[in-house]
Amino acid sequence: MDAKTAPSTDAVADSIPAAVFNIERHALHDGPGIRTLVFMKGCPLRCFWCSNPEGQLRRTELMFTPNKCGSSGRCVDACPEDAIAWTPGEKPVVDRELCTVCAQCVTACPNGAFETVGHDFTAREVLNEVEKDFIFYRSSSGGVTVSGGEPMVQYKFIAELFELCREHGIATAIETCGYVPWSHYEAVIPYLDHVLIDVKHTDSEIHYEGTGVDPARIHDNVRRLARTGIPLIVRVPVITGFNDAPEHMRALADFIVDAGITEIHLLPYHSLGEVKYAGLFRDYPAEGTRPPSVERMRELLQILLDAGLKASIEV
Amino acid sequence: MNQRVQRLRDALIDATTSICAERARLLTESWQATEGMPIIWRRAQGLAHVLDNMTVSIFPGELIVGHHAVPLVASSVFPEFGTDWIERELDELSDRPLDPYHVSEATKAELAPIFSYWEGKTHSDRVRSETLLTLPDSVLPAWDSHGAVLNQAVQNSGKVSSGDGHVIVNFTRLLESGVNGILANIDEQMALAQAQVSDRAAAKKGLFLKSSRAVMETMVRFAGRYAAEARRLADEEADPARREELLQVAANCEQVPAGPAETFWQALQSTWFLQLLVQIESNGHSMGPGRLDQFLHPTYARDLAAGALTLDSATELMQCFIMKFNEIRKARQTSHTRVMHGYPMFQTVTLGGQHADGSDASNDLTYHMLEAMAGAKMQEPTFVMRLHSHSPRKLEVAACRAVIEHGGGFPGFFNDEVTIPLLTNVGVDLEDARDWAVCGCSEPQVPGKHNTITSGTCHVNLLKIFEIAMHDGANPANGITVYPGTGSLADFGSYDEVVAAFRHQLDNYFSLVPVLDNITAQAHTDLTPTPLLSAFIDGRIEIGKDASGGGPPNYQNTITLGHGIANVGNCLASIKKLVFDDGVLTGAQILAGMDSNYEGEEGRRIRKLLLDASKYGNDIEEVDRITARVLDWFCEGIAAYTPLRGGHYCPTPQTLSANAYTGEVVGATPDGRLAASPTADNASPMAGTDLNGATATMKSVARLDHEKATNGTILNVKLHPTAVKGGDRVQKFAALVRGFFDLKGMQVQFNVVDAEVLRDAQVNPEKHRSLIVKVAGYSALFTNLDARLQDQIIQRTEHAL
Repeated sequence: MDAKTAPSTDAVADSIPAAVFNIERHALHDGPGIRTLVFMKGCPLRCFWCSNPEGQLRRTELMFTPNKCGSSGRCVDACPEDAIAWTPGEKPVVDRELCTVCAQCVTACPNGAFETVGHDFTAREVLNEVEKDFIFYRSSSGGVTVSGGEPMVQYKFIAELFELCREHGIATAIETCGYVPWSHYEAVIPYLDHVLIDVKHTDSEIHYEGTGVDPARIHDNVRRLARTGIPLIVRVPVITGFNDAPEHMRALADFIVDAGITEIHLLPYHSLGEVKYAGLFRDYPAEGTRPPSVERMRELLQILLDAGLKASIEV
Repeated sequence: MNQRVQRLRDALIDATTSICAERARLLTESWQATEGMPIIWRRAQGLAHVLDNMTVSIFPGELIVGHHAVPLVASSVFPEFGTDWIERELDELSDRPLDPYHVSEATKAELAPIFSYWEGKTHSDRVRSETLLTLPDSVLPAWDSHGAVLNQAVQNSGKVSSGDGHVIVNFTRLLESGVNGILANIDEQMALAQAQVSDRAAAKKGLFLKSSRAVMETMVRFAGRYAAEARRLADEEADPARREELLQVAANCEQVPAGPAETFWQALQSTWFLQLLVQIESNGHSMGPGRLDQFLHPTYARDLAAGALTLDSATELMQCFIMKFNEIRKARQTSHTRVMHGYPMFQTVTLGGQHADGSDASNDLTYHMLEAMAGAKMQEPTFVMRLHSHSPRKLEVAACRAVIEHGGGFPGFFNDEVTIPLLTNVGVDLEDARDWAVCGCSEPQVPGKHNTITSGTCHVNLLKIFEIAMHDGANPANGITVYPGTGSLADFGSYDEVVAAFRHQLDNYFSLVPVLDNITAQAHTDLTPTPLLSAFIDGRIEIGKDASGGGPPNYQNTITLGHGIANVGNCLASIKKLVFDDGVLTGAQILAGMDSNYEGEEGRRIRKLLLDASKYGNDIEEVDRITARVLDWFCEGIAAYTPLRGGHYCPTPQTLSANAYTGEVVGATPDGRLAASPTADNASPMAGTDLNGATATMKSVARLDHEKATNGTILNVKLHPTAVKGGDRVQKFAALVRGFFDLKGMQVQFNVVDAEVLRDAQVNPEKHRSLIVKVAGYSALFTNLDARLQDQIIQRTEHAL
């Protein structure tokens, strides 16, 4: 963490700070081996089932954890913008329009119920965090995975980080939504070991409705990334009523096979994002969505297996 | 698990745990008949009388036989070690919260005259009176004779009132040469001794050998009684298949332990006889069979190759063998059930490791035994896996699979790359060190070559001593100062002064550890020698001395346990940071907070600052280094003394299940911990304070200097099922262990459970009776644990995604 102790051999080191909202160690579901997951802020998509809504905006946000709140009311007194409404005995409500994320409430709360999410890190600072588990990457063929949000929005930072990782013998992976210009990937590809890329829907209109963007660029990037020869896994969040129809999965399998991709993961929808929306004082857009049934997941998996893909369900 | 094993298992799970008076009655009969005779001879005659007359039971379906009491699951009574506690607590044993024992009225009536005979004659009577006569007058006011604890800080362990144990006898020798081979050895030495009988030492050797000879012959007669019982049952048996089995059981008991084991079945039978008999003799715990996959391998491989054994029949035999370990219980006095509960016996099996030449020792039986153990899902014996730098990854993965299937934390993992240097550092030859096994929770020993390692065992409450040091030497709970201090936390002008005050108290309290241990050790030598066990410790027959006397040619250790390492580390780090680095608080403010249990507005503010300070277990170098220093001070302080039996003091940050108990006597502390709440377990971080995942926890724990903790360290890591199940997660699980060991961690054991299940088990214990959890170095049935420990297990940070 201490920038003073970092060797300054790299001329561009520390040049581009990026917004990171979490660094999670001992991650086991996002690439080979034991990994450290770096969650980057900012995402061009607005998927209604999003489970990391604090990753959507590039800027720092205020986040509240209701379970920690002891209803002391201190946050109300501390807030210089009068952005917090509170009834004694209940939990506070923050008006996002008025809140300037000054973090007075974070300091004032005796229970640590408020925090700010999204802090600037230099590539070298992230590297220092990532390096801590080097010995476990070595024992597991693991490494670092950047996720988000959409990490490729801050692609210059990623390129810099991954170049440093290469120097330090740490394997790299991106977990990407695919919706960035191809040139962003080009900057990172020289230092990239694994790609995890989402394909959410094959149909343009439905994709647009569910995510807010047209999928043409995503599909194009999927094909191009597959051609680089870098190991690539397509991941499909399976959202009930959105993309879980068997015929859609067949169309998706055709697209994947045609792109020359062999491996695919299905990630059944879960509602863990709901509590985060509440913490951001935002409404949960996937309200009422139910996780797909085990039977449906198996059916979808079978379609992919029948298409000759190496497919699995990741939970 | 096949039907036979399932039925054996059900019987054990459903059994009521009872007190059995039979051994006590038989031993007392013999003791009354041998009054005035030499102690070693009396012990041999006593054991002989017990084994020749105790009830012989072969339970339905059993393939491995030999039982220690009348009920299926029971503790015998060992009056020679102490009757006062059991007499006092007898009426409450059935209803006590931890480890209850059913005591029938008939048992009570049978025990009453036994207790009155032994009054004033026991090991416990001797230790208590000698302690009172030995402790310096300045210390006596702080000595609680009843609890055997000094100023709530240094507690003499259960060895005041029970047997010693903590040894792995030489099973290989029994399997290869049988008792007959040992008798030949005894006779040879006897001839030498008798030739020089005018020499006092030779005469005493002759007496020891005569006693050993008597118990060796008793072993053969005991097996003979089982052979006869098996033949009797065979005669009555209607089912021809079972009749055949019983006849084979009889034939096995006629062959072993008298002769060498000729088959895998006989090898298991012979091993069980010895494992059983050393426990009937000594009242010890932590008496493990050691490296089963090594010494059972010759018969296993031979029988498989000859077609005399199939993989399935080997599994069945091993699982029948495993079940036997769960019949033996050791009733402990209620105060000690707080320190170790869940009926632990710590009969540890060690798998894997290296050969004497350093090559990998894992074999096909290692894998097979892991599967048999995982399928049996029992709490005894404890299984541990030795790994080293060139262990096959396949073995690491197989062991991790076994952890997931067993569900109760077995096997625990030990790192040869730390343990072997640790042993050579205390004088063990390299080739012997490579043959090490665990004898209890984490104590590494060379089977057959280490002598029983405890003389006494003191539990040092490091956090209590820290609290005393912050109060100018006075224990705030009772106002007693044993060693005047160097000021209070309000007075210290630098972090170094804080450390110096703690070390001053620590070193003073340590000086009493050998006093207490030596008295216990001497009582074992004088009152409760173990001629049977001694015959299976290398070299004892040659020197003609009972193992309880210690000394060469064996390796010797005496254990001291230090509790609260993580808490003291966190306390020091908080004080350093907040008072001396940042000036956010004064020492006086923290002291006031401690004394008020952080009550009131100001108390809460202070506590929040303390809680927010860095905690050991999060891969934060500064606090980890401080915690590592605390362990160093403990280890180096104790290692400066030499125990009565020779060898070394071997410190350990093991806490067993005592961390709730340890915390109960300590007020609020500068790590933000409230008064009377639990301390951290073993070398683990404080529960609920390691928030960065398993790898960060392991990085922190690996910063401790494990080679100094020569009695071993323990790290408990709780993993959510999602961290280990599905996809290639088991590979990542194995890689996690490998990474920790590459960092020079010594030991780690995993609890793969789901908090949901545990909460349900608190509410509906009857639904979860077979749920086993791993607590501080051993496994216990979750429903047998007290509610506070259950809470703590649930609270432990879940390293899940």
